[in-house]
Amino acid sequence: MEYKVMVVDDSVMMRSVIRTFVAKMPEFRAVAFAENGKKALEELDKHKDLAIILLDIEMPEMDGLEFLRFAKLKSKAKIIILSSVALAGSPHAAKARALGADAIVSKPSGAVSLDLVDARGTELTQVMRRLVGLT
Amino acid sequence: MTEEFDMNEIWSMYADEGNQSLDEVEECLLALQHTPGNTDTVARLFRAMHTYKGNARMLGLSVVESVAHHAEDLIGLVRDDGVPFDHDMLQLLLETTDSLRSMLETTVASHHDVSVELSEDLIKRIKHTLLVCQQAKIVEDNTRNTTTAPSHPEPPTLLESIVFEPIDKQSLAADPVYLEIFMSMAHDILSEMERTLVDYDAEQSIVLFAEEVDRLHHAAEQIGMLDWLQLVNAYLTLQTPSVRQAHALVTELYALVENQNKDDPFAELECFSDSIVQENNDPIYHFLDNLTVPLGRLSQLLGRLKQEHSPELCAQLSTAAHDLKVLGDSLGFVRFLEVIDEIISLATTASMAPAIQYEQLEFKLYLELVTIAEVMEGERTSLTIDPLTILRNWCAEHIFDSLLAMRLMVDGLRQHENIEKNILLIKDLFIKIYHACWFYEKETAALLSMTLLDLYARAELHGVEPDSMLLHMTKSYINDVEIILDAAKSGEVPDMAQIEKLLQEASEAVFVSSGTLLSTQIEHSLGLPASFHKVLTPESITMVAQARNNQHYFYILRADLNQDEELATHFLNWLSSSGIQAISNVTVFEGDRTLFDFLISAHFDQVSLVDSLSALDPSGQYLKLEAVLADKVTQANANNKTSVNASAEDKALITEKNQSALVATPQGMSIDMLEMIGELVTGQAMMQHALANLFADDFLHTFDVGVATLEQKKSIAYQAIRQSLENCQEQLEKLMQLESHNAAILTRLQEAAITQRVRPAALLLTPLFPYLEAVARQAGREVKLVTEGDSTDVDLSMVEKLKSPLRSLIDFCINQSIETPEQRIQNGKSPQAHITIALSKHEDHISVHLEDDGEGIDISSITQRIQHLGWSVEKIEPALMLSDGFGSVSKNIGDDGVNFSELAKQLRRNGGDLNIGAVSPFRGAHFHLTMPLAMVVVEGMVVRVGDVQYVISINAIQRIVRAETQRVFHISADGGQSMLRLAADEVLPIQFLSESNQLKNSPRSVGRSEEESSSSEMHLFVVVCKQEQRIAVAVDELIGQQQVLIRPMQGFLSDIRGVTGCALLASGDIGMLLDVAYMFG
Repeated sequence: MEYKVMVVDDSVMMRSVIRTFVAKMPEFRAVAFAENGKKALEELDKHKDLAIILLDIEMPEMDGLEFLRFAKLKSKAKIIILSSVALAGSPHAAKARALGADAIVSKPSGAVSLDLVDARGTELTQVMRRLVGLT
Repeated sequence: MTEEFDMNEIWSMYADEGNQSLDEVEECLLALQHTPGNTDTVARLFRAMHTYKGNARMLGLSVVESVAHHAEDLIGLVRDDGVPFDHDMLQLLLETTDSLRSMLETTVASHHDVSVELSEDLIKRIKHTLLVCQQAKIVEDNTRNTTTAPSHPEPPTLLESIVFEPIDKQSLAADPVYLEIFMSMAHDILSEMERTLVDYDAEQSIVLFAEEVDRLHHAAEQIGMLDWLQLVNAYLTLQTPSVRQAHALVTELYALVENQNKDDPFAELECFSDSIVQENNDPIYHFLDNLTVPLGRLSQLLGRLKQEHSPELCAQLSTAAHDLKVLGDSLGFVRFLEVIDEIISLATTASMAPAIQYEQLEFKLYLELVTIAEVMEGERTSLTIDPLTILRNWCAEHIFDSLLAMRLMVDGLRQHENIEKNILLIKDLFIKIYHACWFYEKETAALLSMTLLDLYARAELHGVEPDSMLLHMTKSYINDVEIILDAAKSGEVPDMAQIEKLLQEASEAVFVSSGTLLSTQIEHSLGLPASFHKVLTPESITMVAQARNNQHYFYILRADLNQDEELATHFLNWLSSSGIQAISNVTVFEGDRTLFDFLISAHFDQVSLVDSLSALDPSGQYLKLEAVLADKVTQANANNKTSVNASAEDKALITEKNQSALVATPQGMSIDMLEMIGELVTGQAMMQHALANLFADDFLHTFDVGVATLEQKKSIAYQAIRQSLENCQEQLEKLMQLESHNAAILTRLQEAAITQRVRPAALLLTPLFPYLEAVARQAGREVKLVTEGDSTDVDLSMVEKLKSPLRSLIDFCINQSIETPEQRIQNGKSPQAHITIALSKHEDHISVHLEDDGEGIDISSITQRIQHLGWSVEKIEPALMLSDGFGSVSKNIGDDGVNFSELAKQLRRNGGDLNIGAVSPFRGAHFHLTMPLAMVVVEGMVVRVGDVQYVISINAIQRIVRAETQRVFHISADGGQSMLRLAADEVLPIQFLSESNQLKNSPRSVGRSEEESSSSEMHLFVVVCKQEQRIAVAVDELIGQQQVLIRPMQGFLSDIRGVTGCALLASGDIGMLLDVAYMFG
């Protein structure tokens, strides 16, 4: 079983970093990418069977939290907020929880998460596996 | 859930409070008889009825609850909508109160709800009055032509009053709102009628169809829809209606709907409330706006199913759910549809599900609708009913149930029971509490619920149990919310201080665990711009610490990585090259461009950095140096290092300024120490909070009140006292945890502090070189300074204390003892004189010998001075210069000289001493200074004697022996001194450190033990020595060797003999340092 993943992040860099990261996990496949919430909504219509959405918060056009509202309605995918601003206990994290985010993972080293390049994003790996029920 | 409680007590509390509430209700009603307009009394009445209702609900007495609920709604109309309190209402409410009182008796006696029949008539009449009042209100509002926007913050309209309720002889057909409700309901009934005709066989479908006709008849009658009634009545008069006739009725009814639409009741509606219904083409808007009636029915059905389970109700629920599904199907809101499917599946189960399941589904449904409303275009307020209002109403209604449930979950988690399930439920409960808090407009409490939810969710995702701190915070949160909402419910202004404090605590707790507390320090010391605040993760903090150790520079680079992928790749590669560390980065929006600011550390300076950047990006458009950060910690460390390093290379170069700066400011504090201090501060804050909680609970008062009420209300007294004790226990547990946590950090901090305070003696001695040179030049002497013991470790404070005495002595040597180069040549010495300063460290003091090779102290000047003072002394010797009042010693008139007595006084004040060596023809002046070690680090053996721990300096220990009792004997001659025989010719006196210790080893017990043949019992002795003397110290246990920091005994403790100081041991206990010298007399 292969779980489909959408990556929503405004940075080309970050999208490619996550693409590489996801590619290293055999159970997951990144099938859709979007640079803002609006585009992500369009992608959502094309991909009905997403298992995971990795979502950045700070984005132009439509930010992650706004997209979250739509995504929660339109998709059964588990939504992981992957952000450098949603640290534990922060208002961003509380807001995302109130909107029903399934998980919040702080980007280990900032907006461009270089750690993921080294496949050190063990936390993210764990969270993704747990959310689809693999652990 | 209820198993956790003593149900009898709860029933008894219910009886007590119920009677109180009803007394209050009666009192208010009688007061209102005379002053019907008194709003305070109405508010009091409302609260009392509300409390009664809540209590009944707690015990699942739905019939009682329902009566109280309707009465409360009626009072609510008076309180909130300005409906006048009239005689009829008074009579009805008095009757209700009587009825409730008899229900109270019945339910308390039976522990069961009363039967529905008892209340049916009463409820019907209250409902009737309610509707009459509501309608009168609408008419009144219409005539005043006001909008229906509620003017009070609390939305009093609960769903039940929106749902169509039957009334007698009232024609509401003229009212557009009722008309709309009727039409919508009629639409539903018609669909249902059609379905029954299709889905079932003829016989069954006629039966089911009849039920629908009844419903329609009822509705049409209530609202006075005469044409509808006509058709329906005609059908009802049929003896045995056929399926064909049923079909005919449906067709006719549809025709009526057509007609009605032609008349366009909605045009009227729009006219009536054009402020609410706006042109809105959003399908989501239409979906939500059409929900009102089916949703009302659905929630009503769910409510009824909680109490009674019948196939008929289930079928209706299923229909209602299907209706909702049809409405929302086209929108593709999967989670909403999922909930609906769950409801349908619940409706098709044969047996009754637990009440909680119906409630949970209702909650989930509202939650989904809120999510849908969130994405609707336009203002939510334009909807007939905002789902958010429904949800918050619902959550507020259920808040105390939620809090109670959460309390049980937390208890479960404490017992490590059903961790996963409990966390799952707790998360849901937090959402319910969140919305309830919003209902009462308690924003902080709402925010806190989400913060706590976040913490639970994180624990869950990482597969760890929530720690005790989180559980404790949750408990406090439950208590605080209960108090706040209780106050808010009864219209009082709640005290929010407690919850604000808790929010602070929660954030702190979070920050400690995620390292954010430390990040604040780093933000400050690096001078990071605001965009980098609160983004440093524990990983990035470690990187900063590493960079500091490597003395790297810190920079912020602004990069546009989204234009040129090649450049971006090069840049990222460069970032991971050696010598550079990318610590963190944040997104920056510049117009429509998304840029990143990178916080990096690098070993190279600004010029090289700019070179590298322009090599990567020759255009200079994409990569920019945004800021060069001045790191305070690295700078301080760098200052520190250079001064010490330079001293090794060129002692003379060290300046005064550098020295004093180094001694005065503790900038050398390591990042570890800062971290530990941060942890301590947080721990302290939490302990303070726990203590404050403890003190806030006036146990004595609680106890007194409890005992006083014990006779009358045993259960309440018991509950109160128990609650108080529980709180106490909880706080103490927390304090214990915090205390041991802090103690551990303190020990680590102590170890770090020891190393921080230790400095090489060079720090004291090196600055003397330039000083000596300057003095010698002025005096025309040639002097060379020789120092010994530069590398001896001394405490920082020592440097300050010895600096000035040593300078005075150098002054003296150069000016009084050392000859000019010419004189020295004449005396057969080399022209260059020497001053030697030798510093050495002893067990508890520092000793400094200072001597020169000049003429030494001129004894004749001392004689002169003695004569001048008129003192009579036996022998003229240099030590006389130390006597009080001797004054300055100077060879030359006009020279200030050195006042030795003052100098000695100064040293003695610090516990030190000054001695002057005897005059000798072969050597110059000779001084000896001592200074006690302020904080001594002793390598010691920690031993236990009884309950007390002692430290014995390792240097003083000769050996440790284990000897049988028989080797201990007693000398009667020497005041009963006990002795230990180590060998035939080797006998040592034994030193006992405590009474109990002595008894066990006393000669008498030895004698007895021989008789009892236990003379081979082993005892421990530490043999300490001073020169040739040895003593065996009897101890109970050897705890181990460790480095301990000794502080001198202070205050009255300084009089204690036999110990020289106390030590904070690694275990956190206090130990005492044995004064070995004292034992030897």
